[in-house]
Amino acid sequence: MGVDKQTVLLFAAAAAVRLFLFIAFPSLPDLLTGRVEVSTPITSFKRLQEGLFLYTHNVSPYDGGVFHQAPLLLPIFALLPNVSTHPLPTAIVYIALDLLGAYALVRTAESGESVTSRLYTSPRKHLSWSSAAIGASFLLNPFTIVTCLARSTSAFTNCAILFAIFKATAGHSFHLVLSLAVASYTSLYPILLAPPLLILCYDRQVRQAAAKPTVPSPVTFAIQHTGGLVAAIGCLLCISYMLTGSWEFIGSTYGFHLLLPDLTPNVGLWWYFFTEMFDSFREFFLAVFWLHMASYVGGLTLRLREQPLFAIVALLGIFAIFLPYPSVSETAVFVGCLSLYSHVFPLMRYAFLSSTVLLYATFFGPAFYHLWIYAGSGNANFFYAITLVWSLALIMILGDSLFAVLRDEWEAERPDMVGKEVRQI
Amino acid sequence: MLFFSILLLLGASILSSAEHTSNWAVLVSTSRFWFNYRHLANVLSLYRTVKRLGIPDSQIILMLPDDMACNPRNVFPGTVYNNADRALDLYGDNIEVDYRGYEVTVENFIRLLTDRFGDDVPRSKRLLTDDRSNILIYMTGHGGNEFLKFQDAEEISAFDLADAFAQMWEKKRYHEMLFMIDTCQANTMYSKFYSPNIIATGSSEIDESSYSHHADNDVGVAVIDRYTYYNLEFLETQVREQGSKLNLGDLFDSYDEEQIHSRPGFRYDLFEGGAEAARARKVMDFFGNVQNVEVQGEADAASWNATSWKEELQALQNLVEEAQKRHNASAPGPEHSRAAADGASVTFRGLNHGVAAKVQVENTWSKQVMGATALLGCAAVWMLGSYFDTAK
Repeated sequence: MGVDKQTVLLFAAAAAVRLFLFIAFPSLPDLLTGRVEVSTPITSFKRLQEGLFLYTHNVSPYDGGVFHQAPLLLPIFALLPNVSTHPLPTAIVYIALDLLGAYALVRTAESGESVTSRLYTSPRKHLSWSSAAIGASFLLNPFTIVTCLARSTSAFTNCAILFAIFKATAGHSFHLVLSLAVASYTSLYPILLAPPLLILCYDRQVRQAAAKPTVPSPVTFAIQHTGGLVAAIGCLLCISYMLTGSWEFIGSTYGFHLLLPDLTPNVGLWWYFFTEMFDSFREFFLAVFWLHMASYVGGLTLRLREQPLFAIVALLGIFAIFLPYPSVSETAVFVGCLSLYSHVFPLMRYAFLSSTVLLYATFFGPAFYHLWIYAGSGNANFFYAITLVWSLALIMILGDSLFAVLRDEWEAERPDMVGKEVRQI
Repeated sequence: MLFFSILLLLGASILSSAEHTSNWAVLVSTSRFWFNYRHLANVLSLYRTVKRLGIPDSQIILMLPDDMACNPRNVFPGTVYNNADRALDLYGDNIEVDYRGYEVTVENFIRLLTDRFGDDVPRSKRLLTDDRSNILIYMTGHGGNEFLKFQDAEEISAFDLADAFAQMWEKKRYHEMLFMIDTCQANTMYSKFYSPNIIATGSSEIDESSYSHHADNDVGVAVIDRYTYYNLEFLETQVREQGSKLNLGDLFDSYDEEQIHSRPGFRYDLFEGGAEAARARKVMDFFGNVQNVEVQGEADAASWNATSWKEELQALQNLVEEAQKRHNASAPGPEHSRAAADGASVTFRGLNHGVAAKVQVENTWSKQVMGATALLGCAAVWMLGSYFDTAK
């Protein structure tokens, strides 16, 4: 299997920490489920419970207008005992998801894709962290732990995304397509990761095919895999149709993502804009915001053609900032995957500043939320300002890491510029 | 014969006086500032009384020049009391103030009485009376010899008021009016009226002050004036229901100068029939919203045909019975056809849409089996995938 003792120890420690928190602080999961930074209308565990109740009571779970998650999650949780009386099985499911995601990340790190892609080898590959350290940056990340404790369903999406990345770096098309289909099915946005993931898989298959006679043609590859993706998502949608008995779940899940009817505050940028938007401009701005987020896919994939894994990581960062309903879980998976590129961290110009700003926003966010909602001495602007600072921190991290990777690529061509100050124009 | 009956009819109509058909109240306080708390309490007490006796908010014009309830000096915010026992909150949660704050001015008051407004003034701020409306006008504040002070900034004189009432009479805007005023030297305020059908009463004579009744130590100011206090005592304890037959004479006789500490005055000379007719008017004629019923032709027995009335009633009853028979005859027909259509009902598949589904915990096992099957299916597909991937 390739996992060494360090990794096993890490997994055990992470599971122990999560179990300890679940058992020692029984009210903590409910507290975290109520926090807007962790639970959004599309990932909230409370809403899942609501949908589950309706599902088990012969009512369409989307009738209440509360539940907006994928229908296939309902049978999974219907198998588990009632979470209010037996919280442990649900906790174990979420811990398992975290561990699975970490396993995928560790295997991705071990493949060495981040330092050696098909078309590029970093001159700094000796600086990259061990796979256990990379796994730790995801598993022991407070954001990940908080997401696990709050039982947010974005844990499913994160696990599926990490598996998609792992399978792409391994060249396993079938699993890649399945994982990506599951990720897109649960949350809409991972479908945007398809281009870089397919390029990554293609690169890996070409590398592996060097030993075998068959090299797939890019066009055939693209068509096959896109077709497979569409078929897989179609199958999942059909299963959902059979589970809920009608197609209305599409409007309640994907329509909810696209049309943003719920403006509950979160760590993102959309809710504040849309609270003060006149109705006649609403559709226009929804289209603009979605197109904006989608527009990064083409640019990043093309520019980072030689390092498609970093294109994926950068896109994860983009999603963490510009999603309609982001939460700390997207940041968790972004930071976890970013550690794959630890070899370029020395090239980052203001890592300390951006990480400090991130910490600052993490602590002030709940404080200003409390001031706004509970104390009544602040208003929405306070909290929104902190979410802007949070987004700024993530943008700084993303921009700086992008700069570092590009500089690393550039230094491979110009070894004489190693160690020199560079001014980006 | 015909001419004689017509004459008789005319005579009968002249003798029976036309009754009022609506009741209005204009309750005006003219004082601003916290230490004039009692003036607003006076007005709010009367507002509450006339509402209790039936006059609706749409027929009450309430003018409050200051906000005592939400005054920063009010230790009991959101409330106005007229008694130290604080048993009754006059402000409550259901009062409708029509003119508030700086809207209470002499100009607005006179415009209100004479209805000289532009088209944009809302109906709630207008006195929409006609020639059969009885109006109660109650004013309180700081006054003097033939003037009343508005908001510590301007005054209305007795002449202005008299002219306004004269305009109202010319425009046929009232049937009978009861003018009540509780200020210092109040009786001078009504001394200049000259329009008919006004009964006026005031709290004190010229060169006499009107006094407050008592203060509340926690509110910190006087909470009610004496004249109004004893008016309220009569109205609240004696005029208990809308059918009360007590008249203005009873109300006026209840005033005790020893207790009011001033000499209240009355003016009946403008009223048709003088003091006797004025004092015979019922309290409910001005403070309540009760209109009497005129039965036509009661005075002249000759013009009232009892038999024709009975015949008409019988004809109506026949009509009703016929209609009922027709309805019963036709009713079974359409009901039968509707039942036949319902026999062919449409079956719904899956979860019912459009029809309220019964919420019950049923088929849990089937749902769990379905769920487990879906999960196992997905796992099987994953295993298949790994076979394909590693076979490459």
